[in-house]
Amino acid sequence: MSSSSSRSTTNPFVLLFRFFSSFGLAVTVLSLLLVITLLGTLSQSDIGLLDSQRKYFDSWSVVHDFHVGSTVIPIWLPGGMALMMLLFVNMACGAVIRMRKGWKTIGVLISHLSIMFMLAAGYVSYLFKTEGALPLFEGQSGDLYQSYHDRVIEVRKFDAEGKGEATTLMIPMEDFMDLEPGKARTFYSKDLPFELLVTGYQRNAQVVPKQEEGASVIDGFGIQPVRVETTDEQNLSALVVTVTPKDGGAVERAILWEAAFEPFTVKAGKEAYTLSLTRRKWKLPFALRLEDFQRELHPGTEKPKRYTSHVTKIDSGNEQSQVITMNVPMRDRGFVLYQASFSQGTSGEQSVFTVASNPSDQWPLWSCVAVAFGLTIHFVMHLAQFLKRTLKPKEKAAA
Amino acid sequence: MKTFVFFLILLASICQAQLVDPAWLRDPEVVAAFQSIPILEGGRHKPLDTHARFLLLRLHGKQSMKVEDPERPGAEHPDLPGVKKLSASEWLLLSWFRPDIARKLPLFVVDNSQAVGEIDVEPKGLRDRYSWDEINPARKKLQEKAEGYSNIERNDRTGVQSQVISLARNFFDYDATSDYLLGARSDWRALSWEVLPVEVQAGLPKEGAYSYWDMASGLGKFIREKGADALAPGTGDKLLTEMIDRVVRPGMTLAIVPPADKANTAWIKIGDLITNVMREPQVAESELAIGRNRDAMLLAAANGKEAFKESVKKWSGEIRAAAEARGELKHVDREVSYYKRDYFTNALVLFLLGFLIATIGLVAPQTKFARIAGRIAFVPLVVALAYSVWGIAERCIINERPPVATLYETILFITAVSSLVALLLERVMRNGAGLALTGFLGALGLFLSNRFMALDGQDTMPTLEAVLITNFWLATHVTSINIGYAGAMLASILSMVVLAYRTFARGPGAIEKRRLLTRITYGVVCFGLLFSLVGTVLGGIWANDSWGRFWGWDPKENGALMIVLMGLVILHARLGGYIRETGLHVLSVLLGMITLFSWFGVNQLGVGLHSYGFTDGIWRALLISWGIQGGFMLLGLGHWAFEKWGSGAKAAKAPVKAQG
Repeated sequence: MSSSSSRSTTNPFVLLFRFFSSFGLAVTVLSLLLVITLLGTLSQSDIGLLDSQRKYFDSWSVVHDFHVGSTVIPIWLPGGMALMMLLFVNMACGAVIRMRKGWKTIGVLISHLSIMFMLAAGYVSYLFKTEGALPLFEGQSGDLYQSYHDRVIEVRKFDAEGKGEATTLMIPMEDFMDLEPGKARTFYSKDLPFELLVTGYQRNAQVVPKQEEGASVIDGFGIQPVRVETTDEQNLSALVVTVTPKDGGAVERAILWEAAFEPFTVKAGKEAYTLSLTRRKWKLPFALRLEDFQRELHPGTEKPKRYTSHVTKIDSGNEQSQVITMNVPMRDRGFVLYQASFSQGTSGEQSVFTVASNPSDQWPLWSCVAVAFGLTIHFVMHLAQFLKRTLKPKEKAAA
Repeated sequence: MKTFVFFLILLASICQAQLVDPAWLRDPEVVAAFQSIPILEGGRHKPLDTHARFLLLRLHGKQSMKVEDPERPGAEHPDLPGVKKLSASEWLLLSWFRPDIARKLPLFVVDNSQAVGEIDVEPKGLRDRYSWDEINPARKKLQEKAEGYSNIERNDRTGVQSQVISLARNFFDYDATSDYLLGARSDWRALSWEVLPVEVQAGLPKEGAYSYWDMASGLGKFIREKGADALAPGTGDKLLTEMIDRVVRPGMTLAIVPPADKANTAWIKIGDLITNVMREPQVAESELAIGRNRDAMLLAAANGKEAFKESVKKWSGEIRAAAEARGELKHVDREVSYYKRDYFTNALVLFLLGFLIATIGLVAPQTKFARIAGRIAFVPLVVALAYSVWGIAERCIINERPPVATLYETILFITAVSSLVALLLERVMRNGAGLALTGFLGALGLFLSNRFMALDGQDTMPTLEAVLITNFWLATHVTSINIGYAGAMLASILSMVVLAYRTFARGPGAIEKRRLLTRITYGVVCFGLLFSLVGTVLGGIWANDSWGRFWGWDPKENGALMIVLMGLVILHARLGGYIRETGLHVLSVLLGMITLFSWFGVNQLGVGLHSYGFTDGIWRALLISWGIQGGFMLLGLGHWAFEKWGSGAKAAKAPVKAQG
């Protein structure tokens, strides 16, 4: 290891490196990650999986309320994101750069590099992954998949004949989810002939008739907040938008609600714009048509045994038959389509696919193989060493 | 023609339908014939014996029933002379053929006697049992109360309210079961002749008994031809009420008739069969024969034991033949034999025996006595392990899948793996401690598996959710993760043994043994970590293939991650020199607590994709386990304090070399 002179150094870079490569940091980070994982798991029965994930695992820091009887004690803790970053740095400094390399440590090196790769896969997925649902009735085709959680304010433009449907502006939810009643923010775009003032966001709401006058009451209707569901897909958000034409025309106000049947329409000269609060949508580079959906049940029960969708992939006019079933998704050009669920209604059977696009899709698999390989080498070497040491003297003694 | 004559003879004797002698119902041939009847339940084909076992387990808390005189405890039951215990199948047969006796037996286990107080039944003690006869006078109140409590959210219900709901479910299920042959016992001439249309009467014998099958057939033809409105006012209602109560309701308890149409996968219940007889102009003869011959068994009793026995064999044979023709008798006999051989109870007894012998040997270690005790203990332990593995293998064959897919199976598998590893550790320890540990782990695990089965009260071989039907991932991810659990639990128990040993054993010899055990514990932690890590990542890859995401922070995934993190904390803390012997064992006990949370606790949160359902009593068992483990952690901290500041400070100076 290091010499005594280098141990007593005051060089801040060396000290910093020692800190980041230390076992102490590893133990602390792993312990805190353990605590965060426990708290995040327990919180799921109260706040649901999505909020728990955002609060504890995707965050840089978190304040957890510990309940001791009727007393609430808020404790600050580093969030999962910060801890995983620190762990990555710690492994890079301690287990890759600082560790003595040789045959004896080859297993440790491989397994640490693999776990770093796995953490990197997680981060790439966090940054770039898109995931949503593509529901199709038998005979129906589609190429758009809609996010389960991400809401957007979408502005679309139509020409005088009502054609076009070009998306002119998309405001992501990160930019308006903090705009609770009393807070407002204005959004501009050079392509739009008006400005949008957004306020009164409610994560789960009903739009109800209201008698009283007020800023949040529009045409006799207002937003009524309701309890936020722990399953985020069930929440229906709403907000108030004020449209101010740039040319000084009349100001219009509207309630945008996820469950609204029609978007709000704004006229500007010969063109029309629709405003809606909706889930984010992405387009696939090919279309999918559901030919047949089969639901196999365990005999004599309503318990599903297998869901299978027979689909046709339509790509630049070419059609290709495919089967998507449980544990067997369809993969094409970085998109993966999974059999997620189904529904049965008056219009027939509907198969719901989860579509995911994730650049690091297969990285964990490669990483897993490498981790297992590295740890097996390491532990087998030590087991052999241990057995050799433990069994030998006794055999001698027995002889 | 022969069948027709047989029926005529039987029908002629219906008015004298004899009561079946309860002794006939325990005749080995009769019991064997019934046990091996295939039925379709919960989506799988299983023997009637399995149905009986789990019904009795749910109602009674046990798979057999002790029988004694209710007036004089310990004395013979007046109606069941010479019987001390009824097997599940014997109990089911008694309930079918002699409900007058079965309904008097103390059947329904009620954990909290306040529940029966709620329906004005005289309460007994805690976990006492009540007969159908005792509950029946309050059935209306029980139904009303249960319906009222069912409207309360599950989490908001009190324990007593949940008990009332559970008692109502059990009571009415048994009510229908014990009425299974009520239709055959009923005098249909007295119940229906007066209100039957003349056209239907014409098709029935003018005198003597007739069966509801014939009546339903004639009535169905009449309704199909003339419409239900052609019946005299009130006739339809009266007949319908009698048919539903006496035939359809009890007949819905079992899907026992294999359909003649091979394309139809759902087996037919007698309640559905009689409905089909009325609705359809033609019902398959093989289906009808099974329905009619069920009742014929009761009538055959009038001609003595042999005739009864023959009719039982005939009925059983018909169902088996029909099932075999459909290829659905495959593992039925193997399942009967699996339960008969009772692998895990035998293994439990042998593990216990091995544990006792090995522990006696530990009294005088390193002596000839200890060596002999070790050799003797080795035999029952190996046989016990073989029984466990054999039992698990039988389950794999019956289920046609890898060994672990349910919570119950995790207990069996983890017990077998941890016992096997402990037995292998004896090769390193060579002092009998590994043998004692093997016996302890095996006996404890199998005892817990029994308790879990009783708490759950459900078939331990259920059909799986669609996403779980993949032998590749069950064999890789689930098996790895459970070997990881086994490693973590074994390490935790080893640490508890070391901490306890340290409290009592002193001297240089004891220190040497402790150090060896510490090194072994560390090795087992690494073993558990390797499998947990690989299993967890494999689970992520499976999730990626099934749900489109590698990691979703689902409670079960988090539980597995926590085991991995705790293992890594131990490993790095030891390598960094932050913990030595005591610290390692304290953290290893903590690892066991986390493993229990991941294994059982997260399923009780009721959220996530791995939520397999709530099992009453699990939290209590977990809290007791955590309490015991917490006690050992405190003991370890006490040792640490003693080492640091007490008179043990000097003795503990010598460090234990890190193995990582």
